[in-house]
Amino acid sequence: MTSTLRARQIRYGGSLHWILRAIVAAVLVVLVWRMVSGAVPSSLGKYTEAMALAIAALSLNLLFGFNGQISIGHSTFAGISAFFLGYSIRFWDNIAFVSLVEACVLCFLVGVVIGLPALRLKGPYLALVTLAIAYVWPTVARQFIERKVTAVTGESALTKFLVRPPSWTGLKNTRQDRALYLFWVALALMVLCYVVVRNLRTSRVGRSLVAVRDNETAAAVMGVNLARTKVLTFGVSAAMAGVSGWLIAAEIGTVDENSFTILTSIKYILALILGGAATLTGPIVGAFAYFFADDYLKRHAPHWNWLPGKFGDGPIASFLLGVLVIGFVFIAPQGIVGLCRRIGRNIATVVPEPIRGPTHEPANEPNNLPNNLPNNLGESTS
Amino acid sequence: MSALLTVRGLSAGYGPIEVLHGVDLDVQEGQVAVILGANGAGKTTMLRAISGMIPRTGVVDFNGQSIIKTAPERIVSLGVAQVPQGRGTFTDLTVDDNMRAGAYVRHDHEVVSDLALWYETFPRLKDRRSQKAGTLSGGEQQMLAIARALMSRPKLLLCDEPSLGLAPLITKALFQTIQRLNEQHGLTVLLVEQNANLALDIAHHVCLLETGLIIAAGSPAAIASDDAVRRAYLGA
Ligand SMILES: Nc1ncnc2c1ncn2[C@@H]1O[C@H](COP(=O)(O)OP(=O)(O)OP(=O)(O)O)[C@@H](O)[C@H]1O
Ligand SMILES: [Mg+2]
Repeated sequence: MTSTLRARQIRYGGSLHWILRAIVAAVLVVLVWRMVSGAVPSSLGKYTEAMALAIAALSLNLLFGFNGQISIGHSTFAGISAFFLGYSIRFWDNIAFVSLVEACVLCFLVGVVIGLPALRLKGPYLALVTLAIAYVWPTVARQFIERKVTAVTGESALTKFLVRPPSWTGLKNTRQDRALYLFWVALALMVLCYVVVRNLRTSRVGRSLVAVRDNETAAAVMGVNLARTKVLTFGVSAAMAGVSGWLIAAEIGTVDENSFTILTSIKYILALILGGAATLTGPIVGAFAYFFADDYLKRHAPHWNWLPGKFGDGPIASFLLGVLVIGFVFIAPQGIVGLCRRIGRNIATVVPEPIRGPTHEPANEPNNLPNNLPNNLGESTS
Repeated sequence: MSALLTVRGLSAGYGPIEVLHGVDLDVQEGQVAVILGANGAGKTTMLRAISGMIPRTGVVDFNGQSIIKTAPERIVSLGVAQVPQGRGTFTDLTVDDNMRAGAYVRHDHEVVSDLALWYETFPRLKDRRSQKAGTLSGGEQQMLAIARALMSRPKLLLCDEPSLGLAPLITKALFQTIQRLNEQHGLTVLLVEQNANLALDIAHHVCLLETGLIIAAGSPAAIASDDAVRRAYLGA
């Protein structure tokens, strides 16, 4: 509290607030411009994958961060959607965006079914059920490939489903243009998912999600239907995870049973925790931080000869990344965004706009003002 | 005077265990009714049975309409708000968002003016509007829990042991607030308490609940003069 007193106050919606917003927007535009200008397909692809991870983290944030339901099974929804894209383009000549919509609906429905146990299970028990789903998925996926793909084409994975840029974009069907096209699609989808989560969070429905997380009994007496809230949140989150899987599949262009394993789910969770669960921007920040730390370590760590000899042989990058994430979360349990907020609060705080007065003027009904509460209300119990 | 809430032969429990064994209760419109009972008597269960949070049988009429088969969220929009035992503030939401969450069942456009009204009544909450509810003191959280319940525009407020864990002075202020809500805003209140002394001061009607049965009911004066009651609840 003391820091808040020293910090500069910025009024929400005031001119200073708008200037800050404009600066942030400008920085973001420059960032995106730097990503695309002169980029080769492989680096564009990395951004696309990072954005797909961000979408998965956003979906998990909706479920876990805001609604308090843990899922280690989100890789399965991504997998379902990825398979749907691959199969429907390859064998049904589906249009990529139609398959996105259909995959989302499919993931939503599967999510609702899988969310049903969440009505009776909490915390670690729900985590176990979703873990089981992530565990079963590769087997299901293998069976699917054997029966539906290998039996027809002889291939052991779903491949050759290119997402081509439509002609109105002016982009050609080259590797470079496809990568550029997918980059923009990824950016659009990520922004869309962000806006959905953000609007949900600040709406009446969003408040009910957090209410259910914080206190089920109190949420229920407020008139929130616990079962409907939880199951629908699970479904929407699953659909969003589906968007992530669709994007990854479109980018990589080949999927098999090992594309979406429990480790994929763990990656989603780590990205979310790293960025800051229950914050709006945390999933995106965390996903980019995780993805590029991982990428950097994978490229450089194997060449570091100052590491003890034996480490060099094993999966050193994953090991270091694990250590980094654990270390960071220890320092900043609220993630990167939480840490920034804590620092930022010492510099400036955003204060809400004042509530407009009630329809009746206080001065007209002085007796109606119970303002004789003792001033020590609270202090003595805190 | 008419009964806003009529309860007859209300039974409820958890799974195979019946906790309430057919209780009767009338809460007159514009009054404060108090249910006194020891730990485990079934007070919370009774409130939860009235608000439809647990399966129940018997008769529950609110505002001349049977609500025994009504879903809990519908009961809230009919005008029954509940302040759960232990406050149940949403700790990670701001005070403002807690208040708005209280208006969950409402779809009108007067939520903001109601917000302003209740902030006027609870100025301490207004000062802490953008603070997370978890950072409020116990007394402030109880105020918030009540203010939040009021945001649904209830006709009847069910209040479960608001004095729990509060210092005597704070409890007194709290009861004054409840009394004021009753007198100035015409709010009907059904209050559950163990703190008999203060509760009797603001009550119009008192019931004694013991192991799931109402064993006595009447005016505060009549109840207070009962020897058994004095021994059990007033420490005299
Ligand atoms: N969720 C539950 N499942 C099973 N039994 C319960 C449950 N909640 C309460 N009970 C039982 O019901 C009985 C009455 O509980 P209740 O909470 O209504 O008491 P109370 O009068 O509110 O007590 P207190 O003053 O301690 O809050 C107790 O014996 C309790 O063990
Ligand atoms: Mg109780």
